[in-house]
Amino acid sequence: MTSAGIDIRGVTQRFGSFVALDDVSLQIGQGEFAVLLGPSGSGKTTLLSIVGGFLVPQAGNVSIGGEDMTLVPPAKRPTTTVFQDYALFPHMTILANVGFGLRMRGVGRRERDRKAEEMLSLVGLGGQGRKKPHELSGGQRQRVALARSLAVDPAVLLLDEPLGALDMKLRRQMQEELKRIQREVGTTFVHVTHDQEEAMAIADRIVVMNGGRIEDDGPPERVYLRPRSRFSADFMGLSCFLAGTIAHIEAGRARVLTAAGDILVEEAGSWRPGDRVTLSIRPEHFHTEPGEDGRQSLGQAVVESVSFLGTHHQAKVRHTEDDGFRATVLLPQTGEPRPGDRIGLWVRPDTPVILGR
Amino acid sequence: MRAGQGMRIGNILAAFYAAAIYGFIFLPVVVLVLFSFQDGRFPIPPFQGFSLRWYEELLADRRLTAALVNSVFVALLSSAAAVTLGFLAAYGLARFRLPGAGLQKALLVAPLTVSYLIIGMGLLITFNAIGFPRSLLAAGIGHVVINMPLCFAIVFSQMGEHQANAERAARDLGAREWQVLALVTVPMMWPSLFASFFLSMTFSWDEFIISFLLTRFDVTLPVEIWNMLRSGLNPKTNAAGSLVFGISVVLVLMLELTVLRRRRPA
Repeated sequence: MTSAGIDIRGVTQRFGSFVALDDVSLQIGQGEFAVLLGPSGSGKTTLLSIVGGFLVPQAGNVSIGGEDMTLVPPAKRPTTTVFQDYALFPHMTILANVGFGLRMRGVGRRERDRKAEEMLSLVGLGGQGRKKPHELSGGQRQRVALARSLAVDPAVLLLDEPLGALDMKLRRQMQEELKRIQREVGTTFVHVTHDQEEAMAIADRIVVMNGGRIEDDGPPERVYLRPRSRFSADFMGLSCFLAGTIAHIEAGRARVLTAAGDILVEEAGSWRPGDRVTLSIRPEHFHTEPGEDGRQSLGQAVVESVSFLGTHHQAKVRHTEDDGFRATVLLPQTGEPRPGDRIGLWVRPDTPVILGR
Repeated sequence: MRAGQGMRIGNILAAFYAAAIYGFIFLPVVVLVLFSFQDGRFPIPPFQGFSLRWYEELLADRRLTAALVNSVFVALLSSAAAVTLGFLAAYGLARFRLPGAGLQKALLVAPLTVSYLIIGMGLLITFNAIGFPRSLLAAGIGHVVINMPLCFAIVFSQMGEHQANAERAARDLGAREWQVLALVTVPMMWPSLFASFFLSMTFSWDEFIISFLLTRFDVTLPVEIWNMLRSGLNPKTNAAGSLVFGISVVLVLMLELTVLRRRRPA
């Protein structure tokens, strides 16, 4: 199987007065599973269309495998796309669908049927080749679309919200399958989604997009634990934000003054004393009791509402001193927190992330 | 049944009304077909008995059978041309951004609103001016003019996002433009292509006025029937009319069976 890296430089795309992509540059490595994550209108699908050749950007270049592809039509690119609505050919059998790309490349019938059958086995649909698309379920059609795109040995596979139409359980299952298939074929995958859980589950690397720009870019753990922007922290999972000011910095640690109390935060980064900042804290990083791991008190909060999520309780709380500080806190599975309860809030110095206001 | 007296009278009136409508529509056809089997010299009541002699005479009539063959050819070829042109126009307007697309669409559909007489006269004058002889070809061109807008409208209405996405996928997989058309668009559009083809056939098959104006020595069946009618009513003309009607019915049935039956929700 082939594989190639992608190099996007300074790409800008406008639709009328709407700027879909604003001077975006992005490098994706060979064999990487990259996910473009963002809300609708963030430009992620536009970027995918530009890599696939369905749009020619008004500015910037795209090269794939070191060759400039900016003006090359989709048919001549080493990319294939799995479309959101699958776009199978309804009048052809599954085998003919999967073999279509090979037919266009002049591969003989016997060879392309063999290859198509092999691809169908890869996606778990071996022996179903004689059916027509309408005889398959949504999840199976999705697999056929994947097999069809992979059959031509693309260097880059583009996936445009491919799991959007599937139900939750099937989606989880397909995520694992996608990951497995990507490991098996080694092709570079670029996957677009607005589902942050999906992104974390499958990506080697997450590119968070918003308003036509890249907000954050890195491995899932890094993007989740140390988001680079407030948008990224908010979009990737739950986070609460606490306004503060940097009091002083010593040995790479920052003392931050907030209405809920002063706390020490590791990784001061390039912040300077006097900077007005926001602390981003994940629900699972709050403790409700003091401990020996350096955790610091952030005062007390009143529980406003509780929902039971199976593995834990998720409580929405309001700080007793700072009315503007509302947080989501994970509480243990056992014990029954009730609205109106008072709880203490503690955080370790290594978990909050300092972001701009 | 809990229906009261008034309801029952209402039903009777409705049934009577429905019978009147269908009678009004179909009685002339029934009379025409019935008296084509008349065992006598005049296609008027009373019905004197069943006979196939007028059909025999019809088939023995060289001019009539020649006109029938002409009609079949004109219908087949003009419909094929109308569907091809209408499809290509619909594809172009549905898939590409063309200058003045709205105006182009309006102009393509406009002939639907013009009477056949005007179209026939216009073509006659034009053909005369450029020295194009009155012929079956001229009548065929006339039929393309009247049927192409219809084919365009039918095919255009059926071109949706669904096909556009499949076409995009085909291009992505390396198909060239003609391969996209031949392997994806046309097969996916089969139902509407069939529908417009059969509809064009039906219209071309019994079209009179344009054929009348634009043919000369070789004529189509409706024109030949009109020639026969000039020499007076005769059960043979009924037989010819029945034949035209019968073939129209067959065309419509084929349309119904091949196209409308197969259409299932995607």
